[in-house]
Amino acid sequence: MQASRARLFKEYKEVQREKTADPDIQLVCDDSNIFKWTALIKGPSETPFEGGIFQLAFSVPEHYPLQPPQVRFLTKIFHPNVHFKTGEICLDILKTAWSPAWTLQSVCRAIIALMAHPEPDSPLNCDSGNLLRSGDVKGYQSMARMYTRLAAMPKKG
Amino acid sequence: MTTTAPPPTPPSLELKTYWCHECDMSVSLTSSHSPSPSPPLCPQCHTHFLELMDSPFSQNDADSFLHSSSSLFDVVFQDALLLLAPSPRKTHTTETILPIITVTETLLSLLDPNGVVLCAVCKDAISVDEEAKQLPCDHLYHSDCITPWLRLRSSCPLCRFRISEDENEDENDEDDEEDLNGADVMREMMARMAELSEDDFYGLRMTLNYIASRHELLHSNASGGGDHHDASSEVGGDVDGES
Ligand SMILES: [Zn+2]
Ligand SMILES: [Zn+2]
Ligand SMILES: [Zn+2]
Repeated sequence: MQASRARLFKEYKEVQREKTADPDIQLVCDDSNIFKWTALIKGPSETPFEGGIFQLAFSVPEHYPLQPPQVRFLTKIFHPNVHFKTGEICLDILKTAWSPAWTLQSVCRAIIALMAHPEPDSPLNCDSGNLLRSGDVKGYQSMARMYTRLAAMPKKG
Repeated sequence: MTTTAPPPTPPSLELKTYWCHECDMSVSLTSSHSPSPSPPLCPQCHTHFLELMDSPFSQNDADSFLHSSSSLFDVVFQDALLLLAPSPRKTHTTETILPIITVTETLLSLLDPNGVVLCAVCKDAISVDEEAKQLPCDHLYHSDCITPWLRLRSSCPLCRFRISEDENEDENDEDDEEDLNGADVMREMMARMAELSEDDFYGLRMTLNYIASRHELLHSNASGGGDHHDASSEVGGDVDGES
């Protein structure tokens, strides 16, 4: 528990110090609980998620970094490897391929990479996976783009 | 007595979050007077080892975040998506239990020209006279940091070098195909990464490697057909589009 707190606080300080280092990712620690984090990530360019801002929720286990954080999308996203209802993400580094050298920041990076390169063969969103598997890239892209506009674009006010 | 002093502004009870270095936890305090003369006190241990933590972002932050320009990292990252990574070398060693060593200045300067070696598990610098373990791949960790990890998985957190001799875990399906060109570009990119972040706190090199190798995997999976080759890396990978 002590080790995970210390490690998370280091990450927290690093995030504060290097705020501008990675303009695609904004990581914020919960006010009262260092085991709860939120991230805003930008949809990668030249993908149907471009222009969108997606919110991720992190829940960090007490044996972090020996165990991976739990991450899910709070923003609705149409992507084969993300559960449409729960936001659960299917990504190897969050499961069997986890290494304690990863940080919350680099996990965000891997998720952005997953957005740009979906894996239709291990789908959590079957509709999206089927579209891609059947070769309907256009259909997949227009659905994904539609949900990006609906759910991930900042509202004009 | 014509002018009266402006009424004291009502104390705005603002909830602020601090990190108590003594308790090693975050505490929330209400700051009643703005330019408070006395430093805040931890309600748990009553010390002053408090550090202010930032409040969460507002909508404005999100807006400026959206419109902020991309950095060098962005460029490097985009490159990574197009690259092929050399697969990690796998040799087998019978050395299951690694000896604990005492860190010397010589060892640190051997591993890093500036003698600054970060333990990838706790992200702290490894200091002289600390107890450490060096893996066969040369990666160095605090002994207390790496030992619990090796009990879970006997692989290096940074390069996934396997330490134990039991190979009957997954990952046997990896073919080592040397792509000299890919390796060259990767090396050049790593050099650029090194300029970007000296101590590599976030493990960005490892992350880029992972992204690149995953990209390679996706491509080799998708283009099983043969002559069909995609160089423009279309979204969704190289989906076989026969109709
Ligand atoms: Zn305290
Ligand atoms: Zn350590
Ligand atoms: Zn290693």
